[in-house]
Amino acid sequence: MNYPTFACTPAEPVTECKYGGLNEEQLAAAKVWSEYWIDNAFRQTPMTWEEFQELPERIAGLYRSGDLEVPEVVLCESPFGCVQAMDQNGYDATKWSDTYQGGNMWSAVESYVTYFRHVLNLTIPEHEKYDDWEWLAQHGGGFRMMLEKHCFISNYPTKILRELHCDDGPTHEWSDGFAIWHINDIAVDEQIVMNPESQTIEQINKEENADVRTIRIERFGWSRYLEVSDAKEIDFRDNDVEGTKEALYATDQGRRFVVTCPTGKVPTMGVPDEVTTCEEAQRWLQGDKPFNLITRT
Amino acid sequence: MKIAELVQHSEDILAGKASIQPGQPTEFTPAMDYNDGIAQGDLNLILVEKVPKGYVKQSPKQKKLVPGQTEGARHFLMRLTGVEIFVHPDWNLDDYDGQNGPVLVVTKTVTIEHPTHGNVTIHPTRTVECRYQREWDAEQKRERRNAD
Repeated sequence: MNYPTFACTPAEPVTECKYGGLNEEQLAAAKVWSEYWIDNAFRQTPMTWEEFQELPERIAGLYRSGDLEVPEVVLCESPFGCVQAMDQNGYDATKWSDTYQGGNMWSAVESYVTYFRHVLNLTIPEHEKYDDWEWLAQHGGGFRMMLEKHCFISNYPTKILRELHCDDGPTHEWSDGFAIWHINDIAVDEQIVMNPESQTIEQINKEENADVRTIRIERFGWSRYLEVSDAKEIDFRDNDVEGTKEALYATDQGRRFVVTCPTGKVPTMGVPDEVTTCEEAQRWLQGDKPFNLITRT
Repeated sequence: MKIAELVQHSEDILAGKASIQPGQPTEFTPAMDYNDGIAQGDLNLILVEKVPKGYVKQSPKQKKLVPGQTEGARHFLMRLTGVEIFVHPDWNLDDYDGQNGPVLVVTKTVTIEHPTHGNVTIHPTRTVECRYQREWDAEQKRERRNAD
């Protein structure tokens, strides 16, 4: 493990935890340490031959530490490949989430544990069993499915962005083509990113996640959505108090109140059919206890 | 169709050509009175005289003010010192779907932040109630669930 080294690391092992803050040197080391682990989490190069050779013994160590029999270790190209391998080997692939560990994708936790271990030189008996886990977090790929007779391990992604947003491609991609897509931190599907115009009104209206529905409509195009959905404009106003514009539409899915927002988004909200003006829509959204809205941000 | 006007207005906001701007911070001013409110996205923050009856002191205190994992739910207190938090007995961060959010009794200036909306600052000795915007879609869903 090619860890950075620090002058502030005590020469003698620290064997018990004490209360107290970190000094400036230790805080500076923590920043370097966290960057090391962030880089580890965003690795985009495949497992090396040396790492691959050491992998089975490290996985065996994990199973042994839990008094379990050593499984067959299979390296897959992606997390999806692991799930497929579960299915092909007789496991219930729908239960993949009950069996997985994160590997380098869980670097956040490892950055803390290893900081205490290696920078502050905390030495406790539990670290002995932690060795294999720690190695796997850095060299043993990403997600892994820990099963009775098999351990299916995903290789590293070929692409992983540090922001969960990409307008024209996936944010995560593996060598077998499996990919994950995000817009503004929200997980979406490929169609929404690459072919939003191909969505149907049914797809949009059936979307249960409010964030995803807003993204669907934004990428589909608001004008087109209200046009294609045969929406009828009922009311419109300039909201001078909030500095926004508002419109109320009747659609097949009921009434929709559309507003501009200081974030630059155009959110849409459902309101009951009894609502006939934008002002009433605002009052309804306030609920049972009306108040004087002074400003919005 | 007025929707085009709304879309144009949102583009103007992003381009800095509108009277409102993304991420503009705001605060409760001394001139504001009880029942005056500031909306940080869909979180309404309303000045109240006192903590409503039946609310209980939150312990340990939590920075997150809105249940849920969506971006819209990321309203956080910047710090927990100088603020006492009281919650409705049914309130929780996992699956609470009512409108009654935490009530903040502020003794030291505190700020509520959000990734896309502007910060809202509350000065001492204000008491501010968080109220969640009513959701028709959620109410419809609840009705459907009750009818099953």
